[in-house]
Amino acid sequence: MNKFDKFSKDLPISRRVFGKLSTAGLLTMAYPINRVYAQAGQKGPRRFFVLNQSGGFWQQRWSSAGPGGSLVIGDSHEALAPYADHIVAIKGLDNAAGRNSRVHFLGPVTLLTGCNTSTANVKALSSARSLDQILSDQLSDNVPFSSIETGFRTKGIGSQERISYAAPNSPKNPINSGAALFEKLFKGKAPGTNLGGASAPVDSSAIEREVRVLDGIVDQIKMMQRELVGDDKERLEKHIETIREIEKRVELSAGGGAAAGCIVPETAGRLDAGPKEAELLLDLTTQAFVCGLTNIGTYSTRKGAVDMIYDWMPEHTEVYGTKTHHGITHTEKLNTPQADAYFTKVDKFHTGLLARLVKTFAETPEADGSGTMLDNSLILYTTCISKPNAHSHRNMSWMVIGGQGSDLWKGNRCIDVGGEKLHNIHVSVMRAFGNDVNQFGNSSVNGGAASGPSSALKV
Amino acid sequence: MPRLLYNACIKRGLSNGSFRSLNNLVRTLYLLSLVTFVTHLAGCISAPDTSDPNPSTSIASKIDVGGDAQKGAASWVEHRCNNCHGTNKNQGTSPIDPDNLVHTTYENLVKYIEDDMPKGYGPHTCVGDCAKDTAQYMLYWGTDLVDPGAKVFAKSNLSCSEDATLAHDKLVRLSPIEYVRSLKDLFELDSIPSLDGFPEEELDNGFLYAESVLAETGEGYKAISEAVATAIVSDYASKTACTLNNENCAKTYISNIAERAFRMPVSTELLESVLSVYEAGARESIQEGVHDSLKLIMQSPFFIYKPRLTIGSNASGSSLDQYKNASKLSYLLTGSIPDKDLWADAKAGNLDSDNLLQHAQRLLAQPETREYLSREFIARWFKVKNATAIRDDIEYTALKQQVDDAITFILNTAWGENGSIERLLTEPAVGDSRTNQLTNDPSRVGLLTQPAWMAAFGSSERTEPILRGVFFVEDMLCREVPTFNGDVMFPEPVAGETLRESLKIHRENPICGNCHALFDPMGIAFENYDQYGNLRTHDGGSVIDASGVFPTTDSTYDFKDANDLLNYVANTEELRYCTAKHWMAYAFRKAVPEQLNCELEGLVDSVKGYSGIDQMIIETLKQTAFFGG
Repeated sequence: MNKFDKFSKDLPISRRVFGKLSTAGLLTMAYPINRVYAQAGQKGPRRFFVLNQSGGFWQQRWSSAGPGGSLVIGDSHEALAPYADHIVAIKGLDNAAGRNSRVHFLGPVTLLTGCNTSTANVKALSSARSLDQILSDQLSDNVPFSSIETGFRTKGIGSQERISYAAPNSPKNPINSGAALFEKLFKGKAPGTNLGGASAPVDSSAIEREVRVLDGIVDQIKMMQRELVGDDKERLEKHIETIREIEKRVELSAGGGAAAGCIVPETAGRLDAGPKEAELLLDLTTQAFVCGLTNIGTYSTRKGAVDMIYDWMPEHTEVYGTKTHHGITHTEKLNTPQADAYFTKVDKFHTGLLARLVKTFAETPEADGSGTMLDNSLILYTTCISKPNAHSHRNMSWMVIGGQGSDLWKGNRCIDVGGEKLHNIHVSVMRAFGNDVNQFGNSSVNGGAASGPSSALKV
Repeated sequence: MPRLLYNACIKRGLSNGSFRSLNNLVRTLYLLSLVTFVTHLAGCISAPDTSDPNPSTSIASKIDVGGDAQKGAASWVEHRCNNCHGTNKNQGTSPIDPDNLVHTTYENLVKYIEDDMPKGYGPHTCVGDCAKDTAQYMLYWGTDLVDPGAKVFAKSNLSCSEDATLAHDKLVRLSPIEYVRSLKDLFELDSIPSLDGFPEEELDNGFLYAESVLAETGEGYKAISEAVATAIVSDYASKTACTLNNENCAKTYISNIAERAFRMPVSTELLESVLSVYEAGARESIQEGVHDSLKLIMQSPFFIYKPRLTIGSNASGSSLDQYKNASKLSYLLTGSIPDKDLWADAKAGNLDSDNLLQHAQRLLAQPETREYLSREFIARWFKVKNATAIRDDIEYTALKQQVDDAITFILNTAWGENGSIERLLTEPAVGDSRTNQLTNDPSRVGLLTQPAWMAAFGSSERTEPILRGVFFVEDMLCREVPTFNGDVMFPEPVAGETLRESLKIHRENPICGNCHALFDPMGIAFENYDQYGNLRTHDGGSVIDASGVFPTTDSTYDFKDANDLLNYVANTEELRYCTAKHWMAYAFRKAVPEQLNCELEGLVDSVKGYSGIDQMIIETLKQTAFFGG
């Protein structure tokens, strides 16, 4: 009996799910206190999205607490003002796991993983799966894409800047081109085509040929598995899951499978990685949610250590003697009106992107009449550092948006948790999705992994 | 206890506001643990331990910045600083967080102590040496934030267990480069299929890290196999040597391709799996059957996974081992399936150790092999390829040209009778990919001064001496750089200052200096080259000083500039060791596991006499481990 069999036999979950959760560090110290019901019927929100603005927020213009636990929307967040009732702002978060590094910055790697970086690797790779990927196990049974990862100006980024981990040491590379994302989601489909409903055309012959090849691959993987043990066998199990996911996509690409009313969006062709590219990435991701192509998404910006440049706002960058966002954050001129204008505009840009998705979600009713998409989606607006010039992982601010249908909300809309561990939020999110866990991540530095829910949230 | 101390301070006239002012000194952010507090109080106030338990290997020497920490510890007590501030990791009632000491400099701290301490409790009696000593003492606190472990190589540092073995041949997936190179050779294509649309693969230790097949990777295989299968079928008679209606010929072609692709005799069950897809497709046409079955072969796990090199027993001589060893050797050196000669010997059962070495020597003499290893082993080790990934500011074609020039430089300095790791690091020349030759350039000193390497370690606006220095000691010399658990304040260039001057906080603050002394000087050594690799003598209007101190195994070496430093390092055993270690990491496709230290130890001895990298490779292949299992 291996370790999975030994510990999972009494749990109300499959051996496979147990293995995944265990790998993610969720069950490392939790059993038998924790009980995981992830597969026992989905509870809570149906979708999960993260917009991560890696390089930090301009705290001076952030939203703040108002009277009676209300949220006063700051200038940076004006685009989100119409949805203030759907937002909880959490301040005073400490990403303790991120403060253990030779590069003075492990924010992105630890952001959704709460991990120790792998000791098997010289460079920073997460030794645990990320929150979005864990949740994709619950939310991807009936969608062709288990998750969609996008990134703004993330071409050539290294492992230190990736936030989504499908498996330990296996970060997912974000798509940074709207054209490439369109190809992935709607390849060969003309804009305006209705992909949803019973009337969609189905090319059964094409499906049959592709599926035959894919089934052949699975058969051969199983042949190979008979000769293997341990990690190799597990790795091939993941390979089989991948083939099955591709099979779902094949069915969709041949017609059918999308949600009713799923219309192929217009594209702007190849863009220049500027703000329009960012908008297209967000809009296509939004449409993927609306079409029912996925229930999990992440969007992240380059963290800026090398060359993140907001070159469409030169009037704000000329005064610093450097045009890179990273360079500007480290200048001595941060207490100036120019700095205030620049950083506020940067935050407004990203908040504006997020608001496009939130607006669509808020205006789109669920097919089953259970409110809007926003009611049934959980969105995190995150960053990896608080003070970029100090690369500080302490006193960070995040927003939790949507998910009204879950048990997440306490009442107060802006809460300072006073240095509480960042990954307590992950525990709460896991609980909101119906997973009765007390721990998230496997960090063993600076006080260890998160070991309870966020005090700002109800579960 | 904290409450008692607090009361004591209040009684001495310290206000709450004063406490806050005191805190501004270091901007305290969090309270340290009560347990530590009590522990330290119980031990009273102790002077910092500046002794080095292992001076032969530790180079994390603490930096003296002007004070005497021992006297500072005494002053701390004498002036009752501990009444309010406690001591290291002992917050007192007005805690000083060692984590935040990193944000100040020694001079500022001295000045603050002299001018403002004790706040509201004058007179200010701790001035001059007292303030200097006290500041020195305080700055040592933050050194606890640095994990120990910085070491230079010494064989005595290797932890080697003789009975360490890996259980079995681990599967490893072909890297994208290996995948498309294999397809080219398998189908004898004119060119390597495009990797457009294939996801970027994660790197591990500079080498491709290829394990799980994620959905994007699976889509990549699907797209490439579709393109190749379509190309084969569109030129059916020529590619398959079959007539359009000859079913037996088609099946034979598929069987042969499967054997070459899977790199072993194909079992009946496996062949039936392939042919069943052929049969189904052939109901429409033979070409459709061939097309679909080729797609299956190209996405088959028997094609895209290969056995990883392992530690283990020598080859048993079974026929399967012959095929495995042919595959291992071929992918190790050429990144593709065994060529015809190697394959023929495997099929004939002729691959004993001597024969394998002969094939290795044959392959290593081929220009294609050297170019492949230059790109995939040496250029990745030296991170030259990063240049094309991280820089958007230079036109891509220009940067690609620089990378190709660097590959030319490697090809002309690392391989053959006259090639060596020493030449790679010291040759005064640049590579020219248009002529495939070197051009003499006395301003250059080996690969680390080629423009592509400079571009890989610079941003669009400045050089990155810290990144260059970390590469130098961590990647090139395999030293360990400690981790750091605190927040930091990054210095930025100031007008009129050289970058060296801007980095002075790393020299003046021991918390920074404990680590940065290990690599900053080696990065500053290259400051005579800007972020584009252009030679320069000035930075920020000031003359560049590229000199520094290089910590060696048991001493230090004072160097004048990059030329001096590289010529010194190029002849060290440490570099030979690290070259062997990187080769092992490349061969095993992962960071060298602890179990390989025994092999490394032997390897270092065995490759000492070899200067050529290809000679080193042959020597490592003589180690039975490479063909074990």
